[in-house]
Amino acid sequence: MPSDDISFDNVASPPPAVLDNPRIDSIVDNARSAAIPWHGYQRSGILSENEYGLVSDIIGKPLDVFKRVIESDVKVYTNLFLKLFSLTMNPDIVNYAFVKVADALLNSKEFSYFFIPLFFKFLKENETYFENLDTDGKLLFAQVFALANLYVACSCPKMFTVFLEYLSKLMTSTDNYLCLFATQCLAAMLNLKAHRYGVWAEGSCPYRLAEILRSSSADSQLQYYSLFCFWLLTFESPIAKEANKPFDLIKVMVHIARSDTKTKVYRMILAIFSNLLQKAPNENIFTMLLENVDKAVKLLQRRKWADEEILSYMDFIISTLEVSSQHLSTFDIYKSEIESGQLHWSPSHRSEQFWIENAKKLNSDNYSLLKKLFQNLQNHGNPTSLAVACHDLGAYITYYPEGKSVLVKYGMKQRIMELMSHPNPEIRFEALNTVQRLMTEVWNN
Amino acid sequence: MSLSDEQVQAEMRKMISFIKQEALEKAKEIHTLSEEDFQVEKAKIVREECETIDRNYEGKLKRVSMAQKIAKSNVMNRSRLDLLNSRQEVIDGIFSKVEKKLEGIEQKKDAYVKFLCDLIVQSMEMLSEPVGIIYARQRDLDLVSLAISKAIESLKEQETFKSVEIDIDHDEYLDDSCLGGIKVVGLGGKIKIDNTMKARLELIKKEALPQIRHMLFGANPNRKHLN
Repeated sequence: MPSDDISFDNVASPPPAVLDNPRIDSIVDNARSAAIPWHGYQRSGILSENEYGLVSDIIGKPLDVFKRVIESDVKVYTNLFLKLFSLTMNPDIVNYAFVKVADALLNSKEFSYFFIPLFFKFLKENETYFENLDTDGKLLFAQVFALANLYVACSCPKMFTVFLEYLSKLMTSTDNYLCLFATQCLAAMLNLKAHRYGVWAEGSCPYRLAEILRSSSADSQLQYYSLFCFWLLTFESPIAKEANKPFDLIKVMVHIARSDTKTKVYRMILAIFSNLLQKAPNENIFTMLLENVDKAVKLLQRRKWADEEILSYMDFIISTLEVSSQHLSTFDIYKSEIESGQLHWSPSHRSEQFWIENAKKLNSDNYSLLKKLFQNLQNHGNPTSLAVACHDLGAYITYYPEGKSVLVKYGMKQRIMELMSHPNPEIRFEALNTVQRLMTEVWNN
Repeated sequence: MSLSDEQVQAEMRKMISFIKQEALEKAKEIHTLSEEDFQVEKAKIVREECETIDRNYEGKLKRVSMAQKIAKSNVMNRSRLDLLNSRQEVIDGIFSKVEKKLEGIEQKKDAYVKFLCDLIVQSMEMLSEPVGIIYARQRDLDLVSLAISKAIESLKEQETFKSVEIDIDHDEYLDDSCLGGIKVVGLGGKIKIDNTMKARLELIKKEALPQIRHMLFGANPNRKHLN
C-alpha cells in the first residue's frame, strides 16, 4: 500500500491511478529508502549547495509535509527533479527521484500541472533517455510517465510510442505482476481522449491486451485491468467501430462471461458491451447476436447482483439486442443468407417467432429455398453451414409438419441420417435433432 | 485453533486493504463514467448554444439588412422627390420670369395692338358667330378699340364675317392678373373664348414643357418609348 493510512474523513475523488502491486511496491520501497549519500554528492559537486538544501527538505518527510514543501515553490522543485533525472550516472538518485515525483504527481495537482509539460520537454530533448535506464529504473520511470500522461496530453510523440512498445513487451511477461503493472499504466494513460486514439493507432498494446484476455493464466485482477483498458478505448466511437474485428473481442468476452470469475470482471465486460452498443451499434449488433451475447447476459441476469451498474448494463444490453434481433430476423435476410451458401447462426435461425411466420415460405417457387438448403447439406463445406442447414430443416418440419413428405421425396432424409455420424459434434447434434423431428409424427398420421 | 492477536490484526489489515482496493476500483469506474457523461453533455450544450447564437445572429442580420434596404429606398425616394422639386422650381422660375416680362406689355403700343387684332380675329374665327362681345382690361380699352376696328377690317374680307359686329363690354373688365389679351363671348353669353395672355401662356407652358425639360435637363434616361 502507498504510504498513506486509511482516512474516512475526506471522501474526495478516488486517486487518479492505481499503479502498485507487490512486485512494484518492493522496488519502490527499495528506491525510496535507499541510503543515498547526498552530502557526499554535494561535496563532489554533482549537486549544488542550493539543490542539496532543497533535497534535504524532502528526504524522509511524511507525505503531507512533502506535498507542502514542493507546492511552496513548484518551479524550483521541478528544476530540481529534472536535474536529478539527468544524473544517470547514479541510478540511486534517479530512482529516488522517480519515486518522489510519482508521489508528487499522485498527490499534488498543482505540482503536476507545472511539472508535466516541462517533463515532456525534457524527454523531447533527451531522446534516448528511457532506453538507457536499467530494468528497475524503467519500471519506476513508467510510473512517472503513466501518471504524467494521465493529466496532460503527451507532447512527446516519440517517447509515447517507445513507451507503448515497452508496455506491450511487459504484457508478454510470464510474471503476472508485471503484466498487471503494464495494464495499469496503460489504463492511466487512456484517461485522456487523445491518448486513446494514439494507443489504438499504435496497435501493439490492444493486441497484447486481447492476448491476455484469451490466455487462461490471467488472474482476475489482470483480466479486470485489461478489460478496463478496453472499456476506456471503446468510449470513442471510431474505436468502438473497429474494436471487435482484429481480435474477436466479443467472442473472447463472452467466453470469460460464461466462466466463473469476479464480479468486477463481469461488470467490465457488461460495460464494454454497453459501450459497443451505444457508440457503434451498426458494426457490433450483428456480431453480438451471432456470438449469443444476449444468451450469455441472460444467464448472468439469473444471479443476484448487488451492483446497480451491472443491473442497468444488463437491461440495456438485452433490450437493445432484442429489438435488433427482431429487426434482423426478416425473411429477406434469411433468404439472401441461404442463397449465398454460407450459413451461420444469425438471429433468424434460432428465433421461434421467425419460424412460426416463415416456415411455409420455404415452399414457394416449387420448394426452391428448401432445395437450396438441401444443397448446403450436400456440399462438405464449413461445418457451421452444415449444422445450420440441418437445424433449419428441422425447424421447417416442426412448424410445417406436412414438410416431412417433401424431405423424404427429395432424399433429404437420407442425407440427414448420414450426417448423424459426422465427425463434428455440432453437426451430429443438429442432425439427430432433425431426425427426431422427422420420426416423431410417423405414428400420429 | 484460534489465531494470535497479531495474526488477527494482519488478517484484518489484509481484508481492509482488499475491500478498499475493490472500492477504489469501483469508484474509479464511476468517476470515469461521469467524466464521459459530462463530456457528452457539455458537447451537446455547447452545440445547442452555438446553434442558438447562429440563429440569433441570422435573425439580426436579416433585420438589419431589411432596415438597411428600407432606409436606402427611403433615401432614394426622398432624393428623387428633391430632384423633381428642384427641377420644378427651375421651370416655375422660368415661367414667372416670362410673366414678369409680359407685365408692361401695353407699353409696346403698336406691337400690342397688332397682337390684339390677331387675337380678336382668331377668337372670332373660333367663335364663328356674327356677333361678339369683347372683355378687356381697363387699361387696354383704347388699344383694344383700335384693335377691334383693324380686326373688323380684316374679318370683313372673309365671307362668313361680311356683317360682323364686335363690341367692348364697358361694364365688366378683366382682372389685371390676366396679363393682357381679351376674352370673347358670343351667342348671348353661351360661348366664351378665353384668349387672355394668361390663358395662352398656360397653353404654351403645357405644349413647350417637354422641349423645355429636354433643353434644361437632357434626355430622360428612364424613357423607353420615344414615339
